[in-house]
Amino acid sequence: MRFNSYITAITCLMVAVGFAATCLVEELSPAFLVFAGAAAITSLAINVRVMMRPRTSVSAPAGTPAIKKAVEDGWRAVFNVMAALAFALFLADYYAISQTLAAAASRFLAILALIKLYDLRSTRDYVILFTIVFFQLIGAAASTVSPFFFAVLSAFVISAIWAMVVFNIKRDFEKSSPSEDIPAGIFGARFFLSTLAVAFGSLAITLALFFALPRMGVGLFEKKTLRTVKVSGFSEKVRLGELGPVKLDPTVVMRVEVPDGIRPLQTLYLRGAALDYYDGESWNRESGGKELLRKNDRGAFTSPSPMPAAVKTTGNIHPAVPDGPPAVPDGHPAGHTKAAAGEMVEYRIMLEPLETEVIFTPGLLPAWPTGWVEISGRFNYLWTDASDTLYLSSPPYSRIEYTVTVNQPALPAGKDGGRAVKDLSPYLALPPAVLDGPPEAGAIKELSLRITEGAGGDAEKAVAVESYLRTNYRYTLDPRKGAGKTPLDDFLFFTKEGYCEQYSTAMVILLRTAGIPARLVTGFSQGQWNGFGGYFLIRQQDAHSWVEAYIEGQPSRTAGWVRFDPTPAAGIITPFSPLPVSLYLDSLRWRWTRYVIGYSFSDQIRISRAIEAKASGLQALIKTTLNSVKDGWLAVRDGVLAILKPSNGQWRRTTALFFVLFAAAATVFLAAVKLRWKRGAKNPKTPWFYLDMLRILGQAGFKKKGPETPREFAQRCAVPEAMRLTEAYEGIRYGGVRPEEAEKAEIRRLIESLRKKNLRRPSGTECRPSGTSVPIG
Amino acid sequence: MNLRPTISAPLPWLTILAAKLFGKKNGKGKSQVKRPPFFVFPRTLEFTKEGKRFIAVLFLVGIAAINTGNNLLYLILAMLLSLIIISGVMSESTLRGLKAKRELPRHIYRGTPAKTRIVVENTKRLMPSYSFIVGEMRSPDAVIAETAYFLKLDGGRKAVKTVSYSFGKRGVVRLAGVYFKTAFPFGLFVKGRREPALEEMVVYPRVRPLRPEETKVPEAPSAGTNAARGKGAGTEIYGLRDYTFLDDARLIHWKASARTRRLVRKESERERERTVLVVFDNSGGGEAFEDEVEKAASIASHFIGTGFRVGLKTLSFEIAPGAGPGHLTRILKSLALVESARNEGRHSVHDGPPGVRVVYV
Repeated sequence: MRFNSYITAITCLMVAVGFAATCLVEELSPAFLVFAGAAAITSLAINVRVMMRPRTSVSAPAGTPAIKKAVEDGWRAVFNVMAALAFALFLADYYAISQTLAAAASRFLAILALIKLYDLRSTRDYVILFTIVFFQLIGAAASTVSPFFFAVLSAFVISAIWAMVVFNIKRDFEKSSPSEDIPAGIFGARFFLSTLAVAFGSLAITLALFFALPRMGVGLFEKKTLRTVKVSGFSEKVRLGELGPVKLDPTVVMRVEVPDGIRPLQTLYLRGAALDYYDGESWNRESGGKELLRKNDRGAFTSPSPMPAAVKTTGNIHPAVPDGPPAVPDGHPAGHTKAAAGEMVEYRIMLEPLETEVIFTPGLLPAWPTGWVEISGRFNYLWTDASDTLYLSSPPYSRIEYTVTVNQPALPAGKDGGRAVKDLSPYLALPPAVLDGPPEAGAIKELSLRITEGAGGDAEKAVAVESYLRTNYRYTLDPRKGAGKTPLDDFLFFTKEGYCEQYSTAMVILLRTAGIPARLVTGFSQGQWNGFGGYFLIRQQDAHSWVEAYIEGQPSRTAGWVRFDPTPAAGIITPFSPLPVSLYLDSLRWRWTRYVIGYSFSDQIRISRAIEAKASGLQALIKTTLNSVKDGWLAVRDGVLAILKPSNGQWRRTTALFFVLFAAAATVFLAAVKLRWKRGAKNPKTPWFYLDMLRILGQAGFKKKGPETPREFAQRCAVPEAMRLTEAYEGIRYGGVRPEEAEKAEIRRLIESLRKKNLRRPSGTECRPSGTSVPIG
Repeated sequence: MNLRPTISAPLPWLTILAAKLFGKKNGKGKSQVKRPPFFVFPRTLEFTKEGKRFIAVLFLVGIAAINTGNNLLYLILAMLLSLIIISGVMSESTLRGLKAKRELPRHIYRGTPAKTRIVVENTKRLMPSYSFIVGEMRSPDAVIAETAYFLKLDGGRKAVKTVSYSFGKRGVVRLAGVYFKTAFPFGLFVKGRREPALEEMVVYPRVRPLRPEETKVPEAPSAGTNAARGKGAGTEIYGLRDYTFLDDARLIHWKASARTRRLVRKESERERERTVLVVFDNSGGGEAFEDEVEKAASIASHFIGTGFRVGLKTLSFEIAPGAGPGHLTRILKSLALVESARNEGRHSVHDGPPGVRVVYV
């Protein structure tokens, strides 16, 4: 593969990365992207054709240097003019056309890259193109939250590393040998694989650094670029009959992570706003103004409801719950599988940018609906009102993440003063249509009485109404129009079919008629459970409404708002069931959003605490191990002492003997070490083969005498191999020669030959073994 | 009361201590020797132009990430930082395990480029080293050495490049060591590693072409009076002897060889009058001194090159006349080391031996 081919491949890869990054910018229209893609492909095709021409260097147009320079200058001028035009276009785009920086800048960069693609002449041009691609990546980072960004970034890392290495080597080579062509052989498959390995290493380091880089949270220009989701499923004003179409909208509204990723047995409710005033057609909120909540010393908002006397132990809060919720008869399953009574459960909610400032608090059935204890998130203010609805200062224009700690089941709101319910009259008010229209009003009253007949307390009455509605009415998203004056009449007496709003409105009115304060609550029900990520995926279609009733406690119990849901299960569980693949992809998206996009200082604190806990565990383990070693040693010592100390006189003798033996052993050991050291020091640089030769000759009876030089010894022995080996030895030992591979092989051969030779012990003083009479000259 | 013993006993120690504490640091003797620095970084690092731009972009992205709190910008920031780390690791893997050896020519003349072989070995087993240069560490002896560039050197392999060294000083010159530098992998930083490779050599004075008046053979005081005795490189036949393989084939006396049927060579008489004594008055000093040394070396080289026996006489030493390249080496070596003898108290060398041509420098 020729060098130019590498450049072509890298350029294609880089341009593709830049294009992918541009595609991630949400504000760009598909038409522009198609245009840019087509232009890039055309240009790349031209470039590939030019580069593949034989004997054409990337950086060398034909002609003499002067012509070459003039041509390059000309092209550069053309590029500069076009770049200036593109910049003017960018300014016009930003100030007059799109008026968004991300879109205008991305368009500008894409056009700039396209212009540069038609002007790739020198190395500098390539560097400029790659720099533009880098800025395209930054542009994408500034305007997207898509997990595909990571794929684009990975592709960029691979191609950028490849490009930088190749261009750097090219430049170094051209500097040292300007007239030569770089040998393409060095950029083979092995080189590419090494680059790939390096890129993966770089990505691993990138992730490690990403999580370690301190998040200051002092941003002046926080990102607010996500498009907001129009939440037609949820509003602070509910008009009966408007929700139906919404129940088919699969737009994701939020994700709710449950503790330990284990699905709770009961339905999850996400409480939004509570509405108290019904005018016969629609629900509104009338009661009271907003009240600002204060952050506690942990930086979290605390519930204005009386806090349980929390006992803090190792980070978990164990509230002292004097009483559970009011006794609610059967019909509701027992509490959360994980959450025993009084346990704090922490839900993590990732809310898409919605067009409402209301935020949602999770809870299960049966529970005190307003039983949240703490909310923490990246917002500075939180407001509440008399109906315990929670508001941000403004609708969030970016995805927000917050955690809600819920007391499961929660304490009642009205206990111990605190935010005691001052005035329950708004929750008992009946719409004029119900009060004034005699036939309907009478019918509703009668129905209410009929349902609650026989029920003892408020709680039992409420449960009776709930179960009546659940069993006697049909759930449909498309209720018929009946002969009733109002939608409520239609539902209760004529068509007897409807969806959550009809059910909950009916229950509120029936309860109010029975003298139980009640209100309608809007929010979302649990949605789709995603087992891959351990969270609930809440969509528009999961919009729901239910009822909260104020239940007076029995003498031993306390009073408070209790959640009831008269809608049959068919209305709560959405029929929509996505494919496992899409759930898995959504869990990836969730993780990306949760751990990358939403990664924050508090996450860092959590991680560091976890590490600290692990480290302290390790410390404790080391301590225990050391202690056990110490104990073991003490036991051994005591045992030895017990053996050695039978009596006083014997003790001394034994000790003396022990010390003498120990000293003798130490002396012998030290002497051995010294001897060994001396022997080692004698021939520090003697190569192995000479030692082998001496050993083999020694076994045959040729001993080297002390004052004899190696050469004299070899001559005395008169073995040709010994002579050759001695020469090699002299070269290495005294000449500082490093044997080449061939010489090493020769030495090995000589040693082998010497070993195989039948050397016989010399007779008398004659060294020369019989059978060898090679003269050494 | 006699206090003297108690006072005098610590005095020498006190004096030594005071001298150590308050004595001049730049005095003569040991303190003039420059101490090696306490700590030297094992690697050097320089930013390239691209590296500076990279760091500037890194800072910009960092500021943008902090200001916007955008985690994707943090991701890009982490990616840029990881590139720096990867760059450090890869450049280290290139520099580590490299060993260089220089093979200088036997005769080195001041100011004349000496072709030197740089032998580099990659002692790593597997990892190749990419795109690095080998150069000579800065020397106080005014050595200018070219750098040798190696594109790729596989693990366990050797490579050789020939570069030229230029020495700006005659005499004993010390080369401290070599350095390896690389901008690999990304060209953002140039990392360097020094390898001490101490080598001392004698640099001869420059031998320049002589001007015509300098090449003039001087008159001997008693030219032609004595006959030459003994063998030599003269023109007269001295005798014949058997040819050996060590002899120049041009010296074979073909007629005598044909006559005797064995190869016979002729031997010439020694030309006693073709002896030149270069008298170098090294009592001078200053800048002219080097020129004079060079002139002496050039004259000696010229005359030996044209077959003269050349001797050298200076105020400090004397070399008896001799011929051949070995003798020239001896003279050049002596001239490489010659120093001004201004302070030695001698006044003249201007008395050459009788019957020898004398060139005064």
